[in-house]
Amino acid sequence: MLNIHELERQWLRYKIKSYIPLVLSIFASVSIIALLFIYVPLSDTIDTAVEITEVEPITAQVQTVTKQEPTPEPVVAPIELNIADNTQVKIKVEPKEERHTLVLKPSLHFMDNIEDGLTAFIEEEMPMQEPLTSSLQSNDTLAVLDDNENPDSTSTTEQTDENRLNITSNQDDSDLKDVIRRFKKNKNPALSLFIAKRYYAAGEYQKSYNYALMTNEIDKNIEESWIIFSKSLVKLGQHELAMNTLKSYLKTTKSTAADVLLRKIESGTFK
Amino acid sequence: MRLLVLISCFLFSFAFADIKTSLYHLYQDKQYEEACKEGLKVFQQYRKDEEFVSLYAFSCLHADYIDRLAIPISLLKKTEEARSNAAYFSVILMQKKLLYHALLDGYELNELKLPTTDHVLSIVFGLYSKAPHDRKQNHYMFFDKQNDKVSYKLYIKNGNHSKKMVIEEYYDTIMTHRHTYW
Repeated sequence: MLNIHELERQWLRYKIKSYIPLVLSIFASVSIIALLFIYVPLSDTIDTAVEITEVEPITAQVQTVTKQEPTPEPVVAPIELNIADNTQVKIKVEPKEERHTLVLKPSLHFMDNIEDGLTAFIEEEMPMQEPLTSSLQSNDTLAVLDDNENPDSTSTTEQTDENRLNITSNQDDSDLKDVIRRFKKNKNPALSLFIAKRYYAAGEYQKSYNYALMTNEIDKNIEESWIIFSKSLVKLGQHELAMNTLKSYLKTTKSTAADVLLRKIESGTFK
Repeated sequence: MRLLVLISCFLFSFAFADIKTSLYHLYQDKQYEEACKEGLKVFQQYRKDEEFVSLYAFSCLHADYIDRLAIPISLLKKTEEARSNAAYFSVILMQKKLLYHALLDGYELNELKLPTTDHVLSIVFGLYSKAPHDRKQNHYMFFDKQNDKVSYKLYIKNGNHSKKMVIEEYYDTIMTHRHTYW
């Protein structure tokens, strides 16, 4: 008697064993395909991602060219590294976490227009007035007067011309010498500022620079001194130094006059 | 008739120039409060002149009349400079309002990322928004990041009709400025 059950079991085992190589080969091929799918498309996406990030600002035409003819770029090394790390996020050029805060600054250019309007108005009002420097060079008229100046020491003659009052002085620079002597004695910044202004008006910019510098050293909070100092520097051809001085001064103060002068130097309207 | 119109135009322009000039001189002499008040008196007449409006607005800004910037903000729009200044003023105005709201009502400013300016309100706003607010304080002391000698004290003062926000600027423990806003 044949044991049919035993035969059937044996047949089943045999059948299963015969299928094992097939199943294994299918599994292997599937896993190989899966691996291919995993790795090959990943490298492609990295390439395209990099291309996009790199070529983004360039025109579309250039993009197509780069795709057709891939040339070795310096971005190869990062790609390889990223493949090794198996992280796609790091490829992206991330924007900086700490964004710069937008700083708004006031614009005071309109002040120039107002000031220009004022000077034009003054010129219209006083057409007879001669330029300051020429009048000082001739030593006939003392154009700059200050509180520190002793009015008794100057012999002034008043000339009335209809409605206009002209104060003229025939004295030379003896009053200035007197102020310089007084300054050397008491080191008063008001006196040195006065001297600086006088020298500047006379066109002696080196001396005005020196006295303005002395004034700044004694008292660095006198706005007018910084203005004269910077103006003298410009007249001496030191535009950059003048601008840097004004910029550093503006950092500590909110001087409108300094700001206006700085912009005039920058725009070239003050020479 | 034509002559009359010409004369009136001339007189008008002369008067206008005079007002702007006086305002300009007040501003240059750092009499900001006076300039702001004078500007306010004639504001309606000259609201179309952006130079005048800008001058008025800067005067009021320096005089700590921040709320008066609201109208110049809406009017300054014709030129690039005017728009730039309008943006500058609006940031300061907004920061003042937000800071006031935060101090009185506990409004959270930490999440906000706003532009900033060189004005003291912006500086204090930036320092306040970065400071921890675990518990409510009567006053806040902030130290300048660039100059450790400079510090700011921020607190709320009870006024007669409304609560006022006060910012005091210190240099080496000496108070240099006090700004009051409401």
